[in-house]
Amino acid sequence: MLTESSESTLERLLLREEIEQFLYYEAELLDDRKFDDWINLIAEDIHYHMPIRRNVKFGTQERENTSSLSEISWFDEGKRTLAGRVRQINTGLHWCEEPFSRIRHIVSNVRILEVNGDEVRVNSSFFVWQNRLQDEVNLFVGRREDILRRDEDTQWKIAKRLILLDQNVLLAKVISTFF
Amino acid sequence: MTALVRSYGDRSLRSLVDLDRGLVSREIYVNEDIYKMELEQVYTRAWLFIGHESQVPNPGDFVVSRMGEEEVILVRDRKNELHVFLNTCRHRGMKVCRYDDGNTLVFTCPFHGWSYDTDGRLVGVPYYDAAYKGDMDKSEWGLPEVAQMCNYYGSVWATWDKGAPSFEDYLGPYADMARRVFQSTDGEDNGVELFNPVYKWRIPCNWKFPGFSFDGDRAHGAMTHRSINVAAIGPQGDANGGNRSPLLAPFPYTDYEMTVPELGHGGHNAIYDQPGVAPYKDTWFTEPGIDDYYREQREKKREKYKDKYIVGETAHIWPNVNIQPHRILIWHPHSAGVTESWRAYPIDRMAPQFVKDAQRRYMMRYGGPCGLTESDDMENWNYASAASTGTVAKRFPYNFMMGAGHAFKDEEGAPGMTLNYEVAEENQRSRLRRWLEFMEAGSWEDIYPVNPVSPSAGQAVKAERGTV
Amino acid sequence: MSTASDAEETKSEAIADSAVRSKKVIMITDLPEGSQVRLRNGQIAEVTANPRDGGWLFVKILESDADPSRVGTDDMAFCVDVIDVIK
Ligand code: FES
Ligand SMILES: [Fe+2]
Repeated sequence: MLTESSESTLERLLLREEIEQFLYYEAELLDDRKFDDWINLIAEDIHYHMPIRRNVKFGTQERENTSSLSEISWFDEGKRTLAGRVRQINTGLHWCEEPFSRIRHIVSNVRILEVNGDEVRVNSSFFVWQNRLQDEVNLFVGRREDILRRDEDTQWKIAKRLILLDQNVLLAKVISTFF
Repeated sequence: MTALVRSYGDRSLRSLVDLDRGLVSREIYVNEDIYKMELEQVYTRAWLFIGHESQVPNPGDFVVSRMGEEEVILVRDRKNELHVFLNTCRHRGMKVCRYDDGNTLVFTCPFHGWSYDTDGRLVGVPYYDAAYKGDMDKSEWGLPEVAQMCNYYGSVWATWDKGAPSFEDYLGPYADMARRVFQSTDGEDNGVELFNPVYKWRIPCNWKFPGFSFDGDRAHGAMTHRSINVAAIGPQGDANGGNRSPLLAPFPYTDYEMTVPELGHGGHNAIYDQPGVAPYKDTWFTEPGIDDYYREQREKKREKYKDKYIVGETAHIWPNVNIQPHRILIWHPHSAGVTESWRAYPIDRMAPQFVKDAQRRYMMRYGGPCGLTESDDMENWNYASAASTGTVAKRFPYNFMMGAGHAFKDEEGAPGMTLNYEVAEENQRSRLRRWLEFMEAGSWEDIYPVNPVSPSAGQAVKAERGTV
Repeated sequence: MSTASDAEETKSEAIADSAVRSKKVIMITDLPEGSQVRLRNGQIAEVTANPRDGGWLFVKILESDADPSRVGTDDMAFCVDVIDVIK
């Protein structure tokens, strides 16, 4: 017999399962280069933000990640620009992804922080492997802080994504994938 | 120098760079010994871009920068003076600053605790009285400071060489153009500030690939950036086929590759057929209000310069920086095969926040390692470098023939400059010419005052100036 | 398991410690301006600025029995020379 609290535990587990599956599905779309399907998971009002990570003095960590309000970030854009990136890759003439790199998005440490109506705040860690041409390798490791929104069409849409890349000077010549 | 000539048999540096024929050995882009010489011959002598005073507005503010391979600190001391120091402790070499930027009273070394004031003086030495017993004069052990520093209309430049000419002389005919880059869009001096922070990323290629080709290689755009217009990232969005560049009002000018071969600077610059500044053409179809701001600014600038003939607005300052009104591109040597690329973005200091925001977002999607336009440059520089290191590959020189022998002078239109058709490789040959002079020079005395270069005899013709 | 080099390290640290005769570690990073400290050489000093680097304090000398001419002068105090916080 289910008590009230085990019912909510079950709900929580089911939600986590659903969110995890969605994040894995998203990663798979990117790894399979199904960019048109991927961009369809992006909400019209998304804020897609990858700040630069500064080396700052102890006690001033609030300055560590660059602000979207006034500073320069690696990415700080909406769907319009993201869709432009997809169109650019799909020309087959975007040389830094032509031929395609082999990219694998490993997503883990998925944690639901808050459920707010039809929106869910969820953190996850990523490990992205990129192998390009013969021997070019780039690694991108970090955390994402997402807001996912329920959607009739695609189950969930990504409404907000903060990407904390664990690098200071970017060690890759370009970032040609999505996170 | 001698060692290098010996190690290449009879192939001196000069034999690797044949500018008359436009043939340049790949060796100079890949060879480790040549690279090491560059660090000494070029990077300890030339004036280098450090940053901008807006990065350090208050006493005690600092930001790390770079000269060649080495890290420096740009700092405003407590008396409000700017300094550029090498980021290394005089005791045992530890970095005295491991933060990207901040505000500090002193730079204290985390190794044994030597502490330096923001003006570079060594002020704190642990066990000073008890252990050194007066043997060491602290005033001789301050942070290493550049030999010359120049605050040029807000931009900060420095050199390690006392014998270098003043920065203004170093710029020569480009002094005026460089000054304008640091004006706000209404033509006021010291009119910009930089967005923080600076992009920094590593490209697997020799620094001369981007450093010598940027703003000297108009020919690459058509092919390298074939894919960009579909993304429609420019201020005008989808209008005009998604063209990424701002629109320009009709104003009679001709674009040239323009350079001072004696100094190595150059860019793509316009000579206008009439004095004054072109009216503003609306271009920000994607964001309301931006055009109104820029149009108003332009009108002020037009008023200021209505009787003045203006030449060009961008400049590549030899050896490794390109300055433009909205972006500064720096290519630091990192190793023979790696460049650390930096981008800084100036903006009108007095612009309203929404204009700053729009310009900032445009620059982020345009350039840098995540910018849609420039990402394709990196791929080409990377693998051009990689495919040039082979024993057989190095037997085949690079072709810098485009426009060689077709340069000309137009002292009336662009005093002191050498011109060529807008798609040429004149600027790259200029940079290589100056590179050779620096590499062979024993000191600044050998390379300044400059040796005049005239366009190849017999080929110098004044081209017909058209109207665009 | 301790190794020969561990032992050596420990020994040299002990020597360094005894050389400066540290008794306790005083963390000076958060000492506010206006604090008063006792220095190893017997002086009493007031903190005029704290660079918060863990190594140094900017101080003004308040008491200096051995050399009264130092009273009122500005100086810098290194962390291990700060042996007590008196205010
Ligand atoms: S290396 Fe800086 S104090 Fe020793
Ligand atoms: Fe380009």
